[in-house]
Amino acid sequence: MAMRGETDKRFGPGSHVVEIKDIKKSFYVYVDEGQTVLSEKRRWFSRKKPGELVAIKSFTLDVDHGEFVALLGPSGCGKSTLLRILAGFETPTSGFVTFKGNAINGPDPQRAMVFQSERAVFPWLTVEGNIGLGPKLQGMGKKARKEAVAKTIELVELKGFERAYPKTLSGGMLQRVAVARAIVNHPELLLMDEPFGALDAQTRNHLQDHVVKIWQSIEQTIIFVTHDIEEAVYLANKVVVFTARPGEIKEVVSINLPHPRDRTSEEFIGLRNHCTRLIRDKHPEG
Amino acid sequence: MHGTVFPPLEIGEVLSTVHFLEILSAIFLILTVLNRLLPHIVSASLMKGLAVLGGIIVSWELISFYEIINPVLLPPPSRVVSLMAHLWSIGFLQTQIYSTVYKITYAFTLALVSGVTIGIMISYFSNTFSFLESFLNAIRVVPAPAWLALAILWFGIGHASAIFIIWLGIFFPILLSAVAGVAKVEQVQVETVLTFGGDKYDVLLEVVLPVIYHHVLTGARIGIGIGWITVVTAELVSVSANSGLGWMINDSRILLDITTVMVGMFLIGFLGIVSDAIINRFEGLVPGWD
Ligand SMILES: Nc1ncnc2c1ncn2[C@@H]1O[C@H](COP(=O)(O)OP(=O)(O)OP(=O)(O)O)[C@@H](O)[C@H]1O
Ligand SMILES: [Mg+2]
Repeated sequence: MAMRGETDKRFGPGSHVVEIKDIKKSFYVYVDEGQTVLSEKRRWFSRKKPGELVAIKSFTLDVDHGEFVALLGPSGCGKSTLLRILAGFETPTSGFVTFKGNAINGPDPQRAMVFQSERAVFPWLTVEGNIGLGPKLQGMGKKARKEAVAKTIELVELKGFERAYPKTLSGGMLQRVAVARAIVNHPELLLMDEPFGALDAQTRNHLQDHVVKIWQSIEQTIIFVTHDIEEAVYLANKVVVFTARPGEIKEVVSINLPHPRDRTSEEFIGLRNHCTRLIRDKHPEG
Repeated sequence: MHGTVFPPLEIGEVLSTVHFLEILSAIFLILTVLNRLLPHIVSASLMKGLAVLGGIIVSWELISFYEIINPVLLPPPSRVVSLMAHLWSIGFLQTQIYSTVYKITYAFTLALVSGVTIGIMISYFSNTFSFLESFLNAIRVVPAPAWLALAILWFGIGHASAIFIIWLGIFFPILLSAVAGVAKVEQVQVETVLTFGGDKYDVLLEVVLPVIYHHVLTGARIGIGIGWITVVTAELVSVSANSGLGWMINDSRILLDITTVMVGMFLIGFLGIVSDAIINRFEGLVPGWD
């Protein structure tokens, strides 16, 4: 299955967009006697010993076209690491990951990423400039670019702010710019790393509805990292619950509720509680 | 101005102290009226600053007038102003200003291009060029005037040597600011460009240059300041070219012509402020987070 030519032909409608096969990811770090991870770099005078930090292990997951997958787990369990592997910024230590049947090696415009940091939105560019960055880098003509940008701005409801600079926008608007910038090229796969982690509850709920709307209007696959249980159940149709580090799959919970979802319905609360229990299992003390 | 006897021995008409103070008072009166009429242009704080300056000039004039300090060593402002007007009227000052501005602009442009290029090379493309860093650090601590002898040997006496020395003074602040700027580039910003299919050079254009912009501007402001400081030293080696404010100051100093020295000092100070204001104008061009 690792052969490229073979898997290419197998890819067609209905088959997996992403295949993650038994991957493990370790980082090489330096630890002191108490086994605490100190730093990636070793100073020449330090007595710390090199050690291995396993972020993810024996992780297998298939994602189909049009799925909305939420990666849910405690802090430090390797969610971002997995997303970065899918984006092509990290390579797994063992196992393999394919996208549309091809091994992932390096970033690709077909796999867009919404970063958590608000610094990912360039302060020196306007809203328009930020959203137009992807099309520009892909050599899209000025006119086509303008059209694509205008369309996306409408979709994320930022009309009237085309010429505004990021520092004049609210946190919620900034995240909408980040989302717009990622979807403007219509990527096959949208990777989102806790995009609304830093926002207040109300703004966050509003943006969640946005994401659902975007997901429904553009046919695309989304992998969404969060540690907010309700957010995962509200958005996804597949919630992948991680164990604590090293991150393994604890359970994949299917959410077969139609959108828009009612947070107060019995089924919703039932699924939410189920996920809560799954996460709490690993931390009996918390 | 080749062949001119320098310094020009006759000074033109000299303003009398009374006359000078009258003119000063008139200027102050006009400014007071302007302050009332156009308070947003001639602001109160500007008036306060000008009042202090006026006070200093008047005291200085009186000190010379009553010969509290020997006016040969401290010529009165009325004399400095008169000489400046005279040197301007015969076209002598313009030549010196042009020559100095030419050299400093030349050196500044060279320093900006070389400083940013080398700064990016040793920090952004660091694995290849980082060996340059310690080498450059060693050069940096040697003050630009110390290069005088080498400059003369390498470039001869003339403009090129002067430009070299001024360049040395401006280059390092710009280089260091570019290096500091590159360190401020964030990984997410680089990765953003990479996810859109950009390469290392797209990252350079779309991220590195905008990020280092403000840092380089700060470096440029410090650099141009050092540039003006270096001008007087640098123009020591312009002797055969016989031009520039620094040369004018040097030559008059030797002849104990303090008035001309002061004209030169005043002009360098004035041009320094102007150049700083010009660089400052570029600040708002690329917005940042603040
Ligand atoms: N480049 C790296 N070098 C060393 N260790 C790393 C590196 N990246 C991640 N790690 C480690 O891997 C583990 C998983 O990190 P990761 O960022 O994937 O967690 P996460 O699940 O996204 O957590 P959070 O919810 O807090 O964002 C952590 O212990 C982290 O310290
Ligand atoms: Mg994370």
